[in-house]
Amino acid sequence: MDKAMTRLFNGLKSVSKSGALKTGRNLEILSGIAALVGLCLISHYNYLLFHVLVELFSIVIGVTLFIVAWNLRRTITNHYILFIGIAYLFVATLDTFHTLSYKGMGVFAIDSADTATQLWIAARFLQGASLLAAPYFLKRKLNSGATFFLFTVFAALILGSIYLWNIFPACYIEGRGLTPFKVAGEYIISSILLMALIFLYKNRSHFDAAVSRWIGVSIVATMVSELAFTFYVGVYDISNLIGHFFKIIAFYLIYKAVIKMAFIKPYDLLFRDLNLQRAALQEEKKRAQSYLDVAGIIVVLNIDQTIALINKSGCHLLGCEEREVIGKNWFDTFIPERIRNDAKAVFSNLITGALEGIDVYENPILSVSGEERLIRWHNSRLRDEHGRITGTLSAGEDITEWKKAEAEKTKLATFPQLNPNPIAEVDLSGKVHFLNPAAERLFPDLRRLGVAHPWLKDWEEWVGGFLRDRDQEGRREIEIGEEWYNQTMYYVDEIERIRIYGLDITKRKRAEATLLKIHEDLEQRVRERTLQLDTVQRALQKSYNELERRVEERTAELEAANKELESFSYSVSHDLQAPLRAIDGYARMILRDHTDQFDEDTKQKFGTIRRSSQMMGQLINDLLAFSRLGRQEIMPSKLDMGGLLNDAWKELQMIHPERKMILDAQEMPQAFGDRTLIKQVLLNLLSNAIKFTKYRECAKIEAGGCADGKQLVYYIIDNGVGFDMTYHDKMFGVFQRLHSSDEFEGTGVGLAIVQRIIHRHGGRVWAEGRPDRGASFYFSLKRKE
Amino acid sequence: MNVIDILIIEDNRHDEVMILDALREHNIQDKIHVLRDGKEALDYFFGPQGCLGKVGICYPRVVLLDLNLPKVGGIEVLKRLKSDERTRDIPVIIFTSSDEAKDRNESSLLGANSYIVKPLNANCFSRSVADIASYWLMMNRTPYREA
Repeated sequence: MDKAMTRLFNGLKSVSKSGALKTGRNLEILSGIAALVGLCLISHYNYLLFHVLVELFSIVIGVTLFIVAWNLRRTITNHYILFIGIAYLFVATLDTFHTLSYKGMGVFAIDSADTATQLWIAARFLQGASLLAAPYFLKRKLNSGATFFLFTVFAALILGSIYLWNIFPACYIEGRGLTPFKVAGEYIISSILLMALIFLYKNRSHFDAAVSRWIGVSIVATMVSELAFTFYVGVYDISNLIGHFFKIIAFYLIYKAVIKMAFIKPYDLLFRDLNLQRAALQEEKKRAQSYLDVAGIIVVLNIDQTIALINKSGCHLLGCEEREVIGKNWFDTFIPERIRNDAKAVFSNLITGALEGIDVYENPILSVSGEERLIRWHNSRLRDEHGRITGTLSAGEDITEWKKAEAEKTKLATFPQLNPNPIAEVDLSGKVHFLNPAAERLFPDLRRLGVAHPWLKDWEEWVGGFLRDRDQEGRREIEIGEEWYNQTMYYVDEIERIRIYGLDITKRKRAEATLLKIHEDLEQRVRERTLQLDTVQRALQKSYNELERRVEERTAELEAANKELESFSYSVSHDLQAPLRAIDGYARMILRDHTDQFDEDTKQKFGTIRRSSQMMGQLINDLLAFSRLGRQEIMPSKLDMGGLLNDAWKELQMIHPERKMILDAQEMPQAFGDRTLIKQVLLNLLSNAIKFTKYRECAKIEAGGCADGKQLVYYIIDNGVGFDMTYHDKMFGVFQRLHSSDEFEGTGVGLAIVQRIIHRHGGRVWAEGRPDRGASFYFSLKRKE
Repeated sequence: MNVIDILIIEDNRHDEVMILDALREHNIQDKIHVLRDGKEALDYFFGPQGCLGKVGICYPRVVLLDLNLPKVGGIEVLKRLKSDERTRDIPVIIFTSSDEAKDRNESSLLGANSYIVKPLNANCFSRSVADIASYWLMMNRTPYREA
C-alpha cells in the first residue's frame, strides 16, 4: 500500500517537474498559488468570505462536472465520468447548503456551527463513497436516470434529517468543539478514500497515466483536508483554513481529470480496451502457434498439391526447414513412390468432393534422410468465403512407434496362446477370466467349475496368503486326474487377479514315485536285513554271554586251583622238604658218629644219599620259585644294571671261593623293571656261566648292554663248554638240559626262570653258542619312554 | 631257679633231634626246653601254670619258633609274645622251612627278631643252629628293664 502511495506521489512530482518545463503548466501552477495566496489574505480579512469563495469554487466545479457528464451521457463510453458527474452534482448541492448554513451567514435561522459541520460530513461521505464506487463503472453501463434518482433521494434524506427532523447526530457543540461522531466520521471517510485510492490503483490500466495521477492526488488531498478538519476547535481556525485549501486542490484536480477524460482524450479508454484486446489476441495467437507446433504434423496443401503451410513438428519430422518446402509438391517430395499415385488419387477425390467422409487415412511419409514414418492423418477441406474448396488441412500423428509396439504386443499376445502349458488368469473369487488354448484343452471344465475344479484347489487359502503376506508369487504341485502339474501363481496387484502358469510334471512325479518305491523296497530290505542281523547279534550276544559266564566260571575255577596250588606249594615246602632234611641230617649224623665203623664204599653210599636228598630239596625249591614267578606282581623301578651285576657277581664269588673267575663288565645302560626279578636273571645267567666254565682254568665272563631302538639288549658271554645250536630253543624249557647232571649239576630250571622273568617284562631271551667255544646269552628289556 | 636259655617250639621230631644234635655238636651247654605246638607255647607263658604267673621264674633268653605248628600257629604265638609288654623283649627267631614272602613279611611286621629258613643241606643246618645259639646267647644283649 505504501508502495502504491509512493508511486502516486512520485507521479505527482514528475507532473510538477514536467509541468515546470512547459509554460502552460508553469502558468497554471503560478496562478493556482496566486489564487491560494489571495484566498489566504482574504481569510485574514474575512474568514466567512474566504469560506464562501472556497465553497463556491467547489460548487461550481461540481455542477460543471455534472453538466459535462450529463450532456455526454449518450455518446460517452466511459461511465466513470458519468457517475462522477452525477455524484459531484449532489456533493455540490450539499456543499451549497453547508455554505449557506455556515456560522455567521444568517441565511437560515441558525447560529450554531453544528449544521454546517453536519452538512460537511454528509457531503464528504458522499464524495468519498462516489470516488470509491466510480471505478466500478469503468467497464459497466450506468443507468443515469436511476443513479440520478438515487442520489436525489440520498441528498433529500440528509437534508431532511438535518433541517426538518434534527436526527442527524451532532457534530459540533459550541464551546466544546468537535463531537466524537464528527472525528470518527472524518476517519471513516478517510478510510473510504484510502480504499478508493487502492481501487483506483488497481484499475489504473483503464486510465491515462496523468488522469489516474490527478484523481489519485485529488483523493489524497481530500484525505488531508478531512484529517485537517478533525483537529480544529473553531470553524475559523488554521486547520480549518488548511482543510479548505486542500479541498480546492482536490476539486481542481478532479475537474482536470474529468475534463481531460471527457474532451481531450475521450476515446482513450476505448482504445485502451482495444489495445488490451489486441494484445490478448496476439498472446492467444502465439499460444495457438506453439500448440500447433507441438501438436503433431500439420500440413496445408493447395489444390495443386503444393504445400501451403507446414508446422514445426512437420518440418522436424521431415528433416527440413519450413521455407525449403513451401510451394513444393507434397506427394512428389514426401510420399514414397510405391503409394504415390494412390495418395494422389485420394487427394484428388478429397478435393473434388467425390470422397466424402474419409477423414482418417494412414500412409507412410518419406523424410529427407530417406526414413519412412507411418502417419495417421485427419484430413479436412479448406474453403474460401464462397464455399469453394481451396485446399486441404491435414493433421497427422506419427504412429510408427505405436504400430511397432502394437505389432510387438500382438506378437507377445501369442505367447500364452501358443504355450503348450496351461495358463489361466483367475480373479480372487475364483472366476476364470482367461485360459490359453492349452488350458482350455486340458481342463474343459475349469471355467464352469471354478474353485470346485482341482486346478483351483484350496483357492481361498491361496488368495488369503497372497493378500495377507503381500506375496507376489507362489508355487505348488497339484494332482489332476492322472497328471501332475507344477503351478506358479503370480498375484497381479493392479487387476487383483492371479495368473497361474502350469507345467506338466507327471513324468518327473512318476520317476519320483518309482524312485520312492525303489527306496522303500531298499528300506524294507534293509529292515529285513537289520532284523536278521539283530537275530544274529542276539545269538552272538547269547553265546558271548555264555562264553563270558564260562570264562567267569573258569576264572573262578582257576582262582580256586591257584589257591589250591598255593597251599599245595606251601605244603610241599614244608612237608616234602622236612623228610629230605631228615634224610640228609640223619645220614650226616650217622656218618659223623660212626665213620670209623664204615668202609669207604658205605661212606660213599651215605654220601650219595645225602646228595640225592639235597638235590631233591633244591629241585623242589626251584620249582616253587618258578611257580611263584607266574603270580608274583612286578614292581618296576629304575635299575642300575651295572650295580645289580656287581652285586650278583659278589654273591657268586662268595659261593665259589675256590674258582678263578674274571668278570669283564662293560657299560650297561640303565633299565626299568623289578629289581628282585632282574637281579635273579643276572644271578642265574652268571651262575650258569660259572657252572659251564668249571673246566676252564680261568673263567672269563663278559657282560654288557646297549640300546637298540626301542629296546635294551644285555649280554653275558662266557668261555665255557658252549652248546650245539641245534638245541638252542630247548635251553629255556623247564627241566630241559643240554648236559648231563653228572657233568654239570643243576635242576634245569634256572634258564626257564630267566625266560619267564624276561617275558613278564615284555622282553626276549636267546642264546648263541658252539660246542667248546663258549656261550652268549642275550636278553632284551623294553625301553621306558 | 629254673632258668631256661633256649626255648624251642618245634613239632617235627626229626628237626628237633637235628637242632639238639647241632647244639650238642657245637658244645652249647645251655638249658634247653622244647615245646611241641603253639598251645603249649602259649600255656608256657600265659597259662595258669605259665612262667608269667610264677614268682622268680626267668623268661627264656631266646625262642626258636617254627611257623607250621599244630593247634596254634607260630604266627599267632609270635603275635602274643610281641604284643605283651612282659614278653616283648624276648628275642624270637623264626626257624622254618617256609621261604614264602607272606610268612617273611608277616613275621617281620609282628616283630620277629630274625627269620631263618631251615637249610636243606644237613651241614648247613647244623651250622645255622650253632650260629643262632652263639649269636643270641653269647653276643646279643637284650634290653634291661626294672621288674
